[in-house]
Amino acid sequence: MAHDFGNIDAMIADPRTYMDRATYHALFAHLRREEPVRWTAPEGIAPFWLVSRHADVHSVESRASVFLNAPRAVMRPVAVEEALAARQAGHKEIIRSMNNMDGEEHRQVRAITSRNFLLPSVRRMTDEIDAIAQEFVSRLIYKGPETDFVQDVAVWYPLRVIMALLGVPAGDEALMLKLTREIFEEKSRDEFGKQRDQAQLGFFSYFRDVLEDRRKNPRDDLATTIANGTVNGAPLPEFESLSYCLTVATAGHDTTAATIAGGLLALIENPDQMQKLRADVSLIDSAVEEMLRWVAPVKHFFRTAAEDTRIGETAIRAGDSVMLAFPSPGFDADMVEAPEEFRVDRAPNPHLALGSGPHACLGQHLARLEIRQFFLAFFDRIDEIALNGTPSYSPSSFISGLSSLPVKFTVK
Amino acid sequence: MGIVKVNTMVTFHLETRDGTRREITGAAGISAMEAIRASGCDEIAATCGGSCSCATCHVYLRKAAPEFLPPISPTEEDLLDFAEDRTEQSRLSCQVILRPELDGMEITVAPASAF
Repeated sequence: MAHDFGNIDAMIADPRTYMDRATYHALFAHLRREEPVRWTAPEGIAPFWLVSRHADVHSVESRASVFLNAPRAVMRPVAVEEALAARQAGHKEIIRSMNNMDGEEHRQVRAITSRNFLLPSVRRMTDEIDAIAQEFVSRLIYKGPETDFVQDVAVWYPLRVIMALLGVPAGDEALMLKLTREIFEEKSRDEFGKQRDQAQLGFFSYFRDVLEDRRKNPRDDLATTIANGTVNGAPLPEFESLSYCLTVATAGHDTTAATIAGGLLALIENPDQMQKLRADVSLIDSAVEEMLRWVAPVKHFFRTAAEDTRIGETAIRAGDSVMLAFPSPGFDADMVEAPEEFRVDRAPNPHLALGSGPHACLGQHLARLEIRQFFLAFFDRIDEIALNGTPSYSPSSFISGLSSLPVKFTVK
Repeated sequence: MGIVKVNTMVTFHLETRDGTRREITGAAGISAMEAIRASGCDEIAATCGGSCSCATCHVYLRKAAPEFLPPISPTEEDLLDFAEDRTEQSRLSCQVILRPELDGMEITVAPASAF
């Protein structure tokens, strides 16, 4: 069916597109079918190839020495990039972290903390995560029987987990949440730069003190690991170590919260699937994968071609930017059967919500465990749950998800 | 490591957990994990998507010339250490990049690890 989307360039740049799930998915169904590798040139933003098919996103990610993460990781107006470059010796991103690095440097920087995020390490945290999940289901019950699931519960639970790992005290969690929102949300083009600058400074001044403290007083936390991290035997420079903290502090909770909230909404909207999962909780692991596919809170990252190459049939020139639209491959009918259906027992489930290849999400096993333990605790205590208003989404072309999910429920 | 020529196909033998043997062909430059998964074998879960963080693509390699294998990184070493069934032939197949010199190698899927 033909559908006139109007100005697709403007839609891709507009954060409101990412707040409207139906329009977003209709647009990407169109792109996968008609323009799978699309030259996209929004006003005021450096142009790029928009990649939407599963095979192409996966191929670009796996060719990590051809498609580089530096120098451009995230879509921003040229004016913002230029302002950042002017004050950061040419560096156009607000941070310089794993997502901005390639090759051996990327490997070494990732390895500073990666031991903590390996699947076997994460599995050893199951009891601790389970206890936190139960605490937050208990908070849900306390806030009920009518509550905003996102604002009262979902955002706080993964925040508690990652801040405890990082070494940030519970009293500073609200500050971390506020700064994270300012990093990701795009309320208006004018604020695009200013708000993020302030948030970056806020994070950096907070973590500068934390890192200094951990060098003197090491603890069993990620801040200590980062504070003492080295690359090629030399300490990680300050900008990179602050960037590392900012990455862990932001990427570690907003995405997981969005997936839990979006997963709950999908279950409410598909009562047969809610019933199926309640009746057989051994489906929890496939249900978690389906929630990741369905929600896919990371909307894009960029790569830059290091040489002339191809994506599918399309010739790409050295220096061209490529936007990988991570939710789209999970809805590609070439790879996923009946992708528009939410199925808690879907297998196989080759979504790319967490990416693949060397830059795949560092915290992915922790995220899966958090979502898993939350729903297990939830099904233990909560009986009926229904929508109690209209859900809404946060405005961001980068990382976005539900910002409000009014529900009413009964307790077992 | 030299530059791997693109578009060269590499063939290896795969033995799955039920003892079935088959030939798998994949393009030089991709990982053995990707070639095995592309062949339809789901015994290699590769939960982490090839980022060397889960050890669910643990295999045993035989008849693979070591000088043409990428060295075991510290992260891969950590993960292999967790695996109960580690042997001298153990590798994570996401870290084994196919190249023409590895043609004819034999790969056995390791038992599923409970960690």
